Amino acid sequence: MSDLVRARHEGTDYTMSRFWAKRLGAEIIQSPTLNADGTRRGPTSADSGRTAKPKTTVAKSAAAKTADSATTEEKN
Amino acid sequence: MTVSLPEVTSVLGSRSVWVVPKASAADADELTIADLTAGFKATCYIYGNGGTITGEQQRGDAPRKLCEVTTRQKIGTVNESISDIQYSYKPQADDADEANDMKAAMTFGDTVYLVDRLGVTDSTAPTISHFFNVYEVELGYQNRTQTGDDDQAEYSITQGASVISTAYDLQFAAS
Repeated sequence: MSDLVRARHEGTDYTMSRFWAKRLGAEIIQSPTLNADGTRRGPTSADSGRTAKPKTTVAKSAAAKTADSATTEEKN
Repeated sequence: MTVSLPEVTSVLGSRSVWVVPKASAADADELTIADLTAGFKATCYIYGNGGTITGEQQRGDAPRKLCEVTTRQKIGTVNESISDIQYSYKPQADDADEANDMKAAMTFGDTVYLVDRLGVTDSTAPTISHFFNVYEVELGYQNRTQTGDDDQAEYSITQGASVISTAYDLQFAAS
């Protein structure tokens, strides 16, 4: 996996290939592509370095909330 | 009696495949037409019918109740797999060469979306009205192979992948 790099794209750091970093215009940063246990490192926030939360929209959150409340009503 | 056959779609020249990096969207249904355009169109690199998904359905026998004299079957888990993808490359060039773009886009160990459009002529640009199948895969080793042993054979890469998720019949927003 030596061809993978850590690249910063729209405020999030990703492990990706050099090809995609160049194509997306992402900045290649000096950071490990693997976790300490050897697994592939997932997206992290460029600011905090913590695991990045999945991006969502207001509409999507509302839909998820509606679906959740509907399931709760069915249980009741 | 008049026989009315349903409409069918010819396969020849009507499958398009794009490779889109995982960084473009957290989930398959968040992809957009703009992501496809920014991605890599792989159709003219791929040989044959590679990259098709198979969902192997497991079945099992339900525990027999005291009153039962026959066995009931139960549906089990589904094991999704993707067939190997074989594509062309240029052995005497580095990854900056356009002939090796697919090889560079499919780097071993990377996670990408393979976006499949069926039933539309390959030269047609993707639009919001099209339906797409999206396979999120982790890419495997890039084996240097060749398409055959005859005088028409070409050098190729044959690559396996593991399926992370699949989504069918998606329509994408423009951006």
